[in-house]
Amino acid sequence: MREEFLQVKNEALALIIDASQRNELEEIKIQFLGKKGKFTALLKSISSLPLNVRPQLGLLANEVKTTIEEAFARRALEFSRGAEEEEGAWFDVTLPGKKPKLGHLHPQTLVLYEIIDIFKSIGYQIADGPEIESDYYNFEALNFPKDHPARDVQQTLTLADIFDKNGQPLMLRTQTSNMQIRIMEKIKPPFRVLVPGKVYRYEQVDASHGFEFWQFEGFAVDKNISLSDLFGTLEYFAKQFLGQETNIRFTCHNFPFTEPSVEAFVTCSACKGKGCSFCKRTGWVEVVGSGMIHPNVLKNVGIDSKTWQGFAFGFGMSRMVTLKYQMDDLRLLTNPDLRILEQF
Amino acid sequence: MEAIHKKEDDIILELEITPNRPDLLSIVGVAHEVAAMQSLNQIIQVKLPIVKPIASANWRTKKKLPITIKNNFSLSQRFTAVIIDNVIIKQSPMWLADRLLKLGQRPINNIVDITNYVMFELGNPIHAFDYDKIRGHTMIIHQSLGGEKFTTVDGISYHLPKNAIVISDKERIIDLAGIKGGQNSGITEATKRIVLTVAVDNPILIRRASQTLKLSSEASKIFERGVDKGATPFVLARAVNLIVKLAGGGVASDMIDLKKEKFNPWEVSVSLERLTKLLGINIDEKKVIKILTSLNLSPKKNGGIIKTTIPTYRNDLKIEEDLIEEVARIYGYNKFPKTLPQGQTPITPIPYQKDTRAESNIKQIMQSLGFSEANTYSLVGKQDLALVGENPQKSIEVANPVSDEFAFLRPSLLVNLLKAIPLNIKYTQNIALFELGKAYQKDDKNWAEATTLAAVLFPADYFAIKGIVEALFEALNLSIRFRPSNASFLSPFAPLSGASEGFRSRRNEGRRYPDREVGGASYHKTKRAAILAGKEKVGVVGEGLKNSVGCFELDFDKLQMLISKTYVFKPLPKYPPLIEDVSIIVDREVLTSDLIEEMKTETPLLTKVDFLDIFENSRTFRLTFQDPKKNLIGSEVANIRKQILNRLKKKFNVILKD
Repeated sequence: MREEFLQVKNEALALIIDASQRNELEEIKIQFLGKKGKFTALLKSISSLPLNVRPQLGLLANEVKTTIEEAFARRALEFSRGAEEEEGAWFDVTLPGKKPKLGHLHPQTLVLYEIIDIFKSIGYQIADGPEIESDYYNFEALNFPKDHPARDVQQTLTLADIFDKNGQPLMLRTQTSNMQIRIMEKIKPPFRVLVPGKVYRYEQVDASHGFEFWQFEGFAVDKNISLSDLFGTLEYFAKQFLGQETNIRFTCHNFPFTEPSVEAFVTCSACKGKGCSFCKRTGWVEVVGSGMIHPNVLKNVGIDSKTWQGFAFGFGMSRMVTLKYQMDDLRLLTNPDLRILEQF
Repeated sequence: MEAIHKKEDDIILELEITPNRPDLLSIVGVAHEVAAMQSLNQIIQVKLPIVKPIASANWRTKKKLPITIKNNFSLSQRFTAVIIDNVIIKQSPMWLADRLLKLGQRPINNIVDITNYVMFELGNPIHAFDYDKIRGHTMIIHQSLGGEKFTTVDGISYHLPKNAIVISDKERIIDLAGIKGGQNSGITEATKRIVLTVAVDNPILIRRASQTLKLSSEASKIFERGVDKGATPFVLARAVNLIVKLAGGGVASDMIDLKKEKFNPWEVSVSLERLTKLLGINIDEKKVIKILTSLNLSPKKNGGIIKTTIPTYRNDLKIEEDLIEEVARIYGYNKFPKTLPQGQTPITPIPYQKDTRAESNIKQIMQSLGFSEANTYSLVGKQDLALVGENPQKSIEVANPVSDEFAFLRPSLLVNLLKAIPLNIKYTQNIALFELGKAYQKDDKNWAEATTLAAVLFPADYFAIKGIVEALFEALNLSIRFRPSNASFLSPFAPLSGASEGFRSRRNEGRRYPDREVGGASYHKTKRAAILAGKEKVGVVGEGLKNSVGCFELDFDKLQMLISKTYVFKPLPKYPPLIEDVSIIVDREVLTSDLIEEMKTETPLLTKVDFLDIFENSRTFRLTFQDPKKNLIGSEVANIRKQILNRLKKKFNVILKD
């Protein structure tokens, strides 16, 4: 019985392939699957067989039927395509296709995932934390003395009506460095962490500044992490993210939470270092503040600075996006204009 | 270095000075720094002005003038002063006036100009008082009570804040210390004798007063950052030298130097081993000593430790790491090797860990569904809150916003997404936007930052946007149900069962808050649904109140916990299904999903129910019956169908349509 089913299948398939016209196909279909068709007859004959063989044959019958039906369908499709046309007739291949609608990811997302990728590959884990913050985590624990000009560089936006447990008004964090404290006070070294996030400052808006933008913070603490490792890490990132031909230059700077402190500049991507309006004609763009984590900060989170040492860095991520894609205005990143978004 | 200008035959350098280096706010300070940087082979020394000590005999006047100074050491750690008699006030010579002009200062008269000049030269602010205007020949350093009227040398009057440092004579306030001198005691053409003062004022009090009054000066900026406490006698002497030279007269008092401490240089040690370890580079010992010498730090080697003596103008050098920075920066950061951290890759999970894959996954699904990602401001305006029907009292407000447009934290992502529609309509007919970001809400004493996925679709009706949600959750492999809803957004305060450590659940401290109405007004009254995964409400979907907009909001924090990353494979069916269409009559108020769920509970052999059509109170479904173990025959299916209909009849009063 098996043999007969397989035979019928092969016969049908062969005829289908040979069929040269649509109506031929219809005839073959009736020949096999119609009321008096060859296949139908075989199917009926199963009921005359002993009970124990029926399930197996039933299965096979189904398979055969499906195969034959699919072959018909395919062949029919081929016929309908070529219905009005002969082979070799003129066909304009440049007419627009039926393009499905595409969505777009935000350029900042593209940059963020690239950055995450680069740092994950050298052992960093990613974290996120609160934007509504207390003065302690945003400034004090990071070695910013109270009432000191060091705080002037980052003017805060204070919140009305919400307070910390000491009754002090809360603020919107001015830097992602708050996460250094939050994370370091909870775990022991070694660790490597990357924190992308939104920060807020009291600043008037113009093409390169805003009151709300993104940074990403990174820090690594271990037994032997040194300043050379910081330089190497920053260079590694710059070359991965902006291209191998990018150069990086370091200068001394000052941050209350690092000592030594470093500022780094990269070759301006817009003019490749020749000098343009983007880089104020210097050929270099400042991209990151960093340094070795200050012993006071380590002390504040309960880490012994004689045993452990590490570095921290903070990039202006919004700035990196405009740098990478040569956008001349930071405000483009928060504008939900599809003419911007659909470019990426 | 910020900029270089050429002015006549001179060159002006504009430097950006960081707040930790107030010593660089003076010419000599910068000179020391340049000398250190240039001392590559040989140590270069800075030539300080030659200064005759005040006690020197040849310029003393015959009679000494009396003065009493009562100091408060918590306000002024050091107060150094001297009196000069018989001065002649006139214009400063060209060389002096010229240098002041190039520094952006206005020359006034020889005395005032010299005090300015020496301040810029050496870094300590100096003030000159007209001796005869100090009533009772008494100077008292104290704090203002608040409200006192005071007119500065510029002729502008202020009402003083509380606790500013002021100097009074026997009758009135004559100086806003560290910020501006008083008009009533200033140097005029008639001045015959002066009191010269160089003080060390409390930086915090100076800063507070300066900020409150919105009044600052070159002097106040220096005081805020901290002055050289050991230099006051030298600075005073320098000023005296110049004054006697250019205005004549003689020293009419001993030098007064009120202080409680010695203000001597201090010692800081640095270990060479630590230096090498922190920097990751081996700098030759001799080179280290050379660098420290060039910075005037007088290094002395003692085994592996180098002891340095810090001159009083380097208030920023207090700990070993400060010295290590000095060595590194003078050596040259760009000469360092560039290495990567050695050691095992840390794998212990960190707190506040973020699952970036879940985020990128959901964003890519939205992208493939045709949506474009926006990244809008968290700060919005009061009028924007109205777009989502939110009461400003329930939203977190900024006390000092940059403008009214950005005075509140958005309680829902829909605020900006809905605004984006009229913005984009000018350019396109089809708008599909999503954003994954934080929404901020508060409730009495607590607040929360809730990560939300929200989207808007235009033009769209309820089914269009619901279809997007269905596709999204299919891609996330999470089974959901829809229920009618009048509460719009899930309160972020409801704790998640088994919530991970995170700042959100930490603030909850286990309390349950009721569902809040957020975005209530942005959804259509009846064409909206709550989205449930199991018992958890994970979001809302609906038609917007404005025409043709579809929107949804999802609680992403919750979703992350619920999304399963595992699949369990179901073997392919061996036997063909039996499919039939069934039409039933039932009240319109019975929800379709309830009917379908009820049908499925009758038997597992009913593997699929598809809704086909609705017309008045008649609904048609396509039922798929399949048995994994055998071929179903017509009579069996008829039986099952009868059972299903009976069940529906019992529960919903359903009748089969013929």
